[in-house]
Parts: sequence; C-alpha cells; structure tokens
Amino acid sequence: MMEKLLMFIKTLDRRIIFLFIAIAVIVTLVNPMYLEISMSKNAKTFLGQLDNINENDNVIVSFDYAASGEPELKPMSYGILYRLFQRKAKVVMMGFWDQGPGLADQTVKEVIAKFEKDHPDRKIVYGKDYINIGYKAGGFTVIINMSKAIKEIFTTDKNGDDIQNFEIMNNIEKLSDIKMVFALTGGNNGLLDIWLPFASQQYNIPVAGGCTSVSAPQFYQYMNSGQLKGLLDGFKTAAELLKAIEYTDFETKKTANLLSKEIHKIADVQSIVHLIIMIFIIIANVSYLYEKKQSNQ
Amino acid sequence: MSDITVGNSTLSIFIGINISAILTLAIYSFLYKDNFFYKAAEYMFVGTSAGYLLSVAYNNVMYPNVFVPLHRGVTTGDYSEFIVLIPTIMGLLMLTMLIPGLSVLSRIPISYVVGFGAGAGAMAVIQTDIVPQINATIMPVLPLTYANINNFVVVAGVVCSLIYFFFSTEHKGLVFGTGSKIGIIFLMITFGAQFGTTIMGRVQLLINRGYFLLGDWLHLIK
Repeated sequence: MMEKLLMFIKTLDRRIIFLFIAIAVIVTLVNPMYLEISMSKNAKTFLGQLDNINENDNVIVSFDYAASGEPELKPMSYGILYRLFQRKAKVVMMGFWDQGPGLADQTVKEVIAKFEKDHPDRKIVYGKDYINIGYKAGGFTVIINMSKAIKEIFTTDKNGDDIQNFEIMNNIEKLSDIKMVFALTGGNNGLLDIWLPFASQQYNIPVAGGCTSVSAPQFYQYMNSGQLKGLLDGFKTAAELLKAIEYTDFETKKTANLLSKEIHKIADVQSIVHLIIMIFIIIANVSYLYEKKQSNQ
Repeated sequence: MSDITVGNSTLSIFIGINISAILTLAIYSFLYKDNFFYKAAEYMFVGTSAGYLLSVAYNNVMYPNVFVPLHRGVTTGDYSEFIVLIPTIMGLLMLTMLIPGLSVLSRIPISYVVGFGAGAGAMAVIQTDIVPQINATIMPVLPLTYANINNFVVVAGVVCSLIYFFFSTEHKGLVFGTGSKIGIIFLMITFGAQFGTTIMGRVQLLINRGYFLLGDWLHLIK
C-alpha cells in the first residue's frame, strides 16, 4: 500500500500540482475569506520612516520596475504616495527603469483620486505637490550628477516641459536637498546597486525601499546593518503597510485604512496557495525519507 | 470624437482586455505542453519588447542627448555642443564588434566603460558591502541575553559559512570539520528562504493574472 502511494507521489504529473494551484487561486478569489493581516516589524519601521517626513520636505520616490513587478510593487507605491501626500511632502517621482515613470503616472492618478475623495479640503497639484521627472539612463552616474545639479541632468519633466517652470523644483537644486529616497525596485538598476551605494553611502541621503519577494533576501543584511532605513519585502508587507495607513473617511467620519478589498483578497489567495505548496513539499519530503529508509533496509 | 462603448468599457479598453486575456492564456498553455499559441505569444512578446526598447533608447537617450545638442550647436553656432560627438562615436565603435576586420576598435569604448565602472564602483562597494557589513557582524555575544543570542547566531553563521568555502585545508576536526558542517546548515536555510521568497514572488504574479482573468475579463469577482 505504502509502496503504491510512494510510487504515485514519485510519478505525480506536475500538471496536477498546477491544477491544484489554479483551483486554489480561482476558488479563493471568487470566495474570499478576508484572513487577518498582522503587522510585521518591517512594515512598522517603514511607516515610521514615512512619518518622519514633515510638511514641505522634498522626497524622491523612484519607480525602478517594469510591469512584471507591479503586482508586488504597486501596492507599496500606492501606500507610500498616499502617506507622503498626507504628510504634505513634496514628491519627486523618477525611474531608472524605462517603464517606471509611466507606471508612476498611473499609480499617482489613482492615489490622487482616492486622496482627494478622502480629503476634500486638499487638492494635489502637479508641479507644486509632486512631479514626475521621468526616466534617465546611466545608473549611478545619474546619482553622481544629481549630487551636483539635479536640473542639469533632468532638464524636463516626463512630459517634456521645462523643469524650471515647476514650483516644486524651486527648493530642489541638488541631491542634498532631498530629505529621503523611497526606491521601489524590481531587480537590478535600482535600490541595491544605485540608491543604496551612491545616494545613501556616498551622499548620506537616507534610503528606504521596497522590493519583490524574489529579491528580498539580498536586502535583509542592509536592514540589519542600518544602511537601509526601511524595507517592504514583497506583497505581504505592502498589504501590512496599507492596513497601517489610516485616514478619516469623509462620508462616514470613521477611521478607515488603505487596505482595499482587492488587496485583501489577493493576500488571502497568497496564504492559501502557500499552504498548498507547503503541503506538497511536506508530502514530497515524507516520500523521500520513506524511500531512503527503505533503501537502507 | 467620443469613444465607442461596449458594455461599461470603451471599445479600446474592451479590445485591450480581450487581447491581454488571450495572450495570458496562450502563455499559460505552456504549463500543459509546448504549443503553437505559446510560441506565437512568446515571439510577439520578444518582438514588441525589442521594438519598445528601441523606441525608449531613441526617445530617452539618443534624441535628447545626441540629436538635440547637435541641432542646437548647428543653429546657434555654439560648437561646445559638439562634444556629444565623442560619446556618440564611442557608442558607434561598440558596433564594430559586428565587423570582423574592425572589431578591435570596440575595445576602446569597452575599456572606457569597464575602467570607469570599476573606478566609480570600487569605492561604493567598499562603503556599502565591505566596511558596514563587517562592522555589522562584529557584535557582542555576552552576557547571555536574547539580543546577544541573536548576535551569536549571526556571527556563527558568517564564520561557519566562510569555513565551508575555505578550501585550503581539509574539512576535518572541530574547527574545520564541525564548522563546515554547521556552515552547510546555514547555507541550506539561506537557500530555503530564497526558494520560499521566489515562490512567493511567482505566486503573486500568478494571482495578479488570475485576478485579471476572473475580474477584469470574466467579471466573476464581486
């Protein structure tokens, strides 16, 4: 009996595992459970860094990712921008990935729509409260030049308008005028190889960031050493951050948070799919150990 | 002119969503087995990516950094603008790699890029990865408190992992034998964590596509 089961597991078609995962995704998305989302230390630290930003502080939010990074990084950028607008910061958006600034435009549009609905007394104005200075090729050389004169390397905004015409740029001459950088990175060319070694380590600008969970293990050492001021390591922490960002709902006058039903549903699916993968890993390991024991006998 | 509407969407969104859904399903069909639809979607992806990147390179790099200064130089008579010809020629020399007789010229821009990268990057590596990381590993392990136990695990992990990769002596005895075995455990835990986070990231991509197919395309998610 055990031999048959073992043989079945060993010869299990991988497509059956894919089918299980697909069913889990479909069933959980259609019937969400809204499982509890607890707050991790990383999310708390990150929120603390956002709350250190004061009115009129200049911050850079760097969108160093492409569409493939959006599922994990968009919720982060959404939360970061919303909180920065709450803190009345001056937000400069840019990107070391060509698709980044375009994705930034899409995200900020959604954030502003939500923010202005929640805060009818506030109007977020392009060029005054935020700007998108676009993509710039060149990696760390861009940072070196930004440390001397930002407006010389970014002469126009993303739409091609002269950067001197925007009020937000009046108080930004060089990198040292930036209080903090929040870099969202989908791989190389971003937080780890540009912002951290150059902006943070060479020019002493505090850097916090977000990354996809695939690359998260590369970043933990920099959190432990204090080089990174905050880290959102994948979708889970992004959901935690959104849950932690609170505002008073204008219509109901009740305290609400940014965690939308959509994000909560996706978090549910992630938990369930992980559970299924864990079960398969345990089954595979048990069968491996049983087989090893049998061959020793 | 107002856009044509289909249900609650404009025609352009309707067409876009349907094309996205069909391409998503075509790519996922590879999970069953390699097939024509997967191949077609794959080639389409490679082709559009190459075209897109070419246009990005032209619009964001070549046009503002080469053609605009050259045009300005010609129209204003400011010959200092022609300095952009130096990096432009260096860039063009890269292409000589494709011409067998002239390929040696490609070494000039490559040596410049490597030299500049190494020079500028060396300090960054020292300041980011070497000094602060060594500094962060020199930690108190006594007296026995929760924080110091954590410190001990970090220090032991670093030392034992380094022992595992020290090949100048045989891994025998208490220091090198036991140390390298403990090092393997730390390495396996690290690889396990990386595997876990990789799964997490890939699953997130799958869920995102699932949400798109079930929500935006089929409207099954309420």
